[in-house]
Amino acid sequence: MSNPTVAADTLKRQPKRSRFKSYIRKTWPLHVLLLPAVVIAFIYNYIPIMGIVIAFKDYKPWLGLGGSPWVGLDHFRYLFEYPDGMQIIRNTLIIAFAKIVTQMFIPVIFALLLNEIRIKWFKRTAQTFVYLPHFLSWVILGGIFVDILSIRGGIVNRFLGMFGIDPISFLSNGDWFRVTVVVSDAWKDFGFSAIIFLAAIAATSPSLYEAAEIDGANRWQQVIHVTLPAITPIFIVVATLSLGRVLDAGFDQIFNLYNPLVYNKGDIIDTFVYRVGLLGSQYSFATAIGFFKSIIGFIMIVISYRLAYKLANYRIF
Amino acid sequence: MRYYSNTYKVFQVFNYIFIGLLSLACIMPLVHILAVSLSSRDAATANIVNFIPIDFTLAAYKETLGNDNFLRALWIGVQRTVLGTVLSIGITMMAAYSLSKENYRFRGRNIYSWYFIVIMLFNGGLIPTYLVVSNTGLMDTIWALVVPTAVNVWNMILMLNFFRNLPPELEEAALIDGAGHFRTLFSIFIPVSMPSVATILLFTMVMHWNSWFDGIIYMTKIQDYPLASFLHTIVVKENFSEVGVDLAALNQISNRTVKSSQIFIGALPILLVYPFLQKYFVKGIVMGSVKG
Amino acid sequence: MKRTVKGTKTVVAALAVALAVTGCAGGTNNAGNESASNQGDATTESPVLTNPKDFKFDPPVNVSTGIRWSAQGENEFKEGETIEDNFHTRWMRDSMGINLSFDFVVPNLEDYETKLRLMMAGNQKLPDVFTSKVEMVSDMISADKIQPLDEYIDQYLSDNLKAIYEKYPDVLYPVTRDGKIYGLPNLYAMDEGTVMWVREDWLQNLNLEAPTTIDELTEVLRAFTEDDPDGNNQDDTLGMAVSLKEGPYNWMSTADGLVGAFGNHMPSKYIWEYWNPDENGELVYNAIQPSVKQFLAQMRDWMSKGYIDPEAGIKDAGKASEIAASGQAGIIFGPPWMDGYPLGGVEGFKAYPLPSGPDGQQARAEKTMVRDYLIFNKDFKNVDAIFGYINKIYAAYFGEEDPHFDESLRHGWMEGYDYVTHEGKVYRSNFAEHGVPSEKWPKPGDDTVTYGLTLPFLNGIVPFQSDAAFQKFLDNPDAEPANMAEISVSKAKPRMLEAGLVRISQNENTIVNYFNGPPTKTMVSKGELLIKLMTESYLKIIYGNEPIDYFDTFVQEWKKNGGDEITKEVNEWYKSVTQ
Repeated sequence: MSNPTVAADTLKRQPKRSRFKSYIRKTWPLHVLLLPAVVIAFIYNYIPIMGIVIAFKDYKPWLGLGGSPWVGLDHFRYLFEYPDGMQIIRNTLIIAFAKIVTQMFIPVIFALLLNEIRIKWFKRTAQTFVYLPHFLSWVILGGIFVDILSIRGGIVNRFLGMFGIDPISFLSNGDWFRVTVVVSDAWKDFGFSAIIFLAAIAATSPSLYEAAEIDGANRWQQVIHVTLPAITPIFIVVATLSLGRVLDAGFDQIFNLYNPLVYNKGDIIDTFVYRVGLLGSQYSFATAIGFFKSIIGFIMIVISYRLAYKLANYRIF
Repeated sequence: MRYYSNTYKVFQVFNYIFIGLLSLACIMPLVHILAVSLSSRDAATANIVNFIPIDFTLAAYKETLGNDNFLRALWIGVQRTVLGTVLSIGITMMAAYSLSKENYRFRGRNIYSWYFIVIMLFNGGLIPTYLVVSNTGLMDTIWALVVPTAVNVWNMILMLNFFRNLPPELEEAALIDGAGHFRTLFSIFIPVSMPSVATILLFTMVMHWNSWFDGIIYMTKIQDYPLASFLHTIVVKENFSEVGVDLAALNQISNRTVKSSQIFIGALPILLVYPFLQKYFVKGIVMGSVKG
Repeated sequence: MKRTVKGTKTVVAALAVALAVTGCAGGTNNAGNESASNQGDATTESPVLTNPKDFKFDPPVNVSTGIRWSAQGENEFKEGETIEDNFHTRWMRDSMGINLSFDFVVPNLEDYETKLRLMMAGNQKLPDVFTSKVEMVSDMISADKIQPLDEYIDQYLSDNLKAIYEKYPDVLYPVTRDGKIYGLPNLYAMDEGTVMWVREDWLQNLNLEAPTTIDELTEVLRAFTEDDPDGNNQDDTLGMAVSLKEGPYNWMSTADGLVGAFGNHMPSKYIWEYWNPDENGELVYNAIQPSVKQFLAQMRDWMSKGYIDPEAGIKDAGKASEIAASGQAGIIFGPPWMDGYPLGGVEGFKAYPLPSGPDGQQARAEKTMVRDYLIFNKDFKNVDAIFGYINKIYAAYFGEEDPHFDESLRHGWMEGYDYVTHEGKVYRSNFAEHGVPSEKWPKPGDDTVTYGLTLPFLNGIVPFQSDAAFQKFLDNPDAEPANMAEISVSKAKPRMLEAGLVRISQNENTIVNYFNGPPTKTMVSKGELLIKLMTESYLKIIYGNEPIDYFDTFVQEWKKNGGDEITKEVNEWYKSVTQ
């Protein structure tokens, strides 16, 4: 963004033509390496992005993209003027934010714990097992969760019963519903998310550990002074990018678990859009809400990008 | 050899127990699905199977493995995953390499970065994307499944950060040797970044293996569906009443055992990939290859 | 700075060009219409008219379609056959000269509609013949994509079918625009009305009679919950399995038979049902009527006492049925076919008539008669050929008196697939028992297998037509079926036939939806809110989170938030079709 001006400053001394020539001579391979990605992104992402105009139109298939009438911000207004609109947005933010935080820290902690495991087969088996749930869709898991969380003899409530705790209606009590959603999401994906941190730990040079050991650091100190700093950059990257999903509370999961009893605490933007869509394909409305979510996500990423740069002096991209 | 404090030993015991239990909690659903797939049809419909098959039978597997549609979908799923991963990884690595250069060495880098960040967040929605895919002639070809998804910005950013954290001496050494950017990327950067390359590889494969929606939209025939799309069609909840019930076919209507066997077999290939890639997560590979 | 601006301009220009290119391409893509080359000569008379029983098009006509179809079982087709090439498509080609091809085959309804909408958006060629739900048909008419059928109906459609449309005129309302008819309805058999499934063995264990009233039902539910009906000395049973997540009316695990005990009003999860006339002839929305409040109070009472599944509010219809199928619940309401699924594994269930309410009132919901509409691409010229085919398929259901009756469909769709003949007799099952040699079986070596047929774009079904057959086959399982509808019933097991008879005995007391137009303007804009309000309020009352009188608050809210508006629109529509 601010880049061309910076570029202009550093190159002031050379005449314009040769400045450009030398720039090209030095960097052309870098541009070429980027070319395939730029072209594909242009065709399959940027051209379709033009379709966002239907967010401001009342799209009718027989009128086409161009012929449908403009309606301005009507579709956005619909969400905000909807009686439960604010509640839905609040639910989305709370659930999404809780998920972002758990999905940031649990995988890191797990990766650190797993890194302390010395028995190789145990480590590998555990690593493979925790990654399993990622491959089961919520359509299937939804039914399984209704069973294990049942108040009529579900595993979880039977377990709690051993400690004298009364059965908890995890899926029909709004507050418990939120907890259930966040915990089950963490359970499903922590193993998969941890891979990234395991890779970062694996990429840490052993010489750093050797040096620390020579300095007399014990295992705890090695974790704090070597492992943690090694994964911090990746952690910042993951955290920043996940903030872009602050309005994504996880449609598939909520859709397969929620019910009218928890609408007030568990209904999110995406499930709302889905239900509206059932009354006829409301592409304009869906596109408008998608656009709204993108803008908020984009703002979040820009802010956290700047913050990371200011506070940690780290450009994540 | 090494000295470990007592607290660390206690910690280790708890750590093993904790991770062991966690692992168990994670395989339970798949064990359940396996048990259902090995049970009788009535037991499965009544949902009384937990982790041990009831009225053990291999009938579901016999049926699944004798189902040409399933096997074909499995094969297309594999093709899609391999082709899509190769394409996406190649494009992503190249882009990530360029973007990992410092601003002062690659002016214009920032423009590229934001160019990609935008597409990570914004998309035009179903209809415009469909129109472009169909007008570029990809409909009903495997390319419709691998080309539009080839640029994965998330992986690109992750990779550029991994590249950036490589020791700077690596590249300097390469440049002194007279290697160009292409050679530096392919013969130095990628080989020394195997843990991260393996990560990205895995993510891409998983993404391709799990994607079902594009298969349904861009393929007009069920015979061309990749496995994920095929599985989606069988797990989706059907309202039998809406379709109209054929009295004669009732006993075939709820085939939970067969569905479970298909889900189980469908999950196997991608589960087996991970242990295979795990050897690249072994410590020290970076320095080892630099020294060599 | 300057360069950035210029760069931006270039990008914008490039985008514009790219858009223009793809936009233009959209119009010409797939423009070639295969059937165009096969248009019959307009002056020669269609073979369908000259020879309705054995017409054949020569040269053959090409017809494309797109269907919703998903494999349900292993023995869907014979080895080597597929949905696109099977005995039926070959029969169409060889006997009628109709070459059927498939533009797309998608597995479920949602994807099917998405596919059609995308094709419409892309201005691509739609199939020649295909089916569609009301609301999409309405879009198709607006988009000028399909053709009116009045002339074809007059000229080609069989008299028996015309009689059906005269008998149920409202099935054509939604596809009639400016006096022209744009689609032919595919109808349901209407054989799925709710019955009450009760554990007969539990009743006997406890010396109880099957309940006939709500009060008796309450007592049975109590006994099933508290008196250990399965005699295992464990408190592991409860009265009723039911799903209330999406309102009381579901495709199974339903409570419509209980709602009907309190009045002739039925709530549904769709804003377009149920609407029926009050004493002034005005259509009223059922979910806000006082009789529903009584129903909710009753459910609330049962819920608080633990007689019904405490998780009824979080389970969908399929999930809710599991506790009945696993022997934990003694009563479940649902269609007569539940005998086959999901209750197949429990011997004790028997179907009973729905109980009556305090005033002797008793009714069930009748589902909307139309499944979907068969519509024809505007550019498709051989509509007569498809009408000829339709006549033949329906004739197989109407029986041999129909002038279009095709002799080859007398015993089934195809010999060696759904039936075999041996020594002059027709067999549809148990071939080994009847001494049919193995090589004649549809699947040699396995005599349990027969092959059914998925008709490509119609179902041939006539409402209520099979009702008479239930008693016939219960009396004599080996009776000779007179038509396709009876063949279908002949395959049912005795328990399902009994259940069917129970259903038929209550055919008079049904709640019917009078609104079947496309969704109105306010339905589209407020429907979601109103349905959410309904399901939420109902469950709050049933679960005791709100007092019973909260129902009145709900009604006020419903009216205020667009309900009154919708009521007005619905009545305007009703007047427009009935006058």
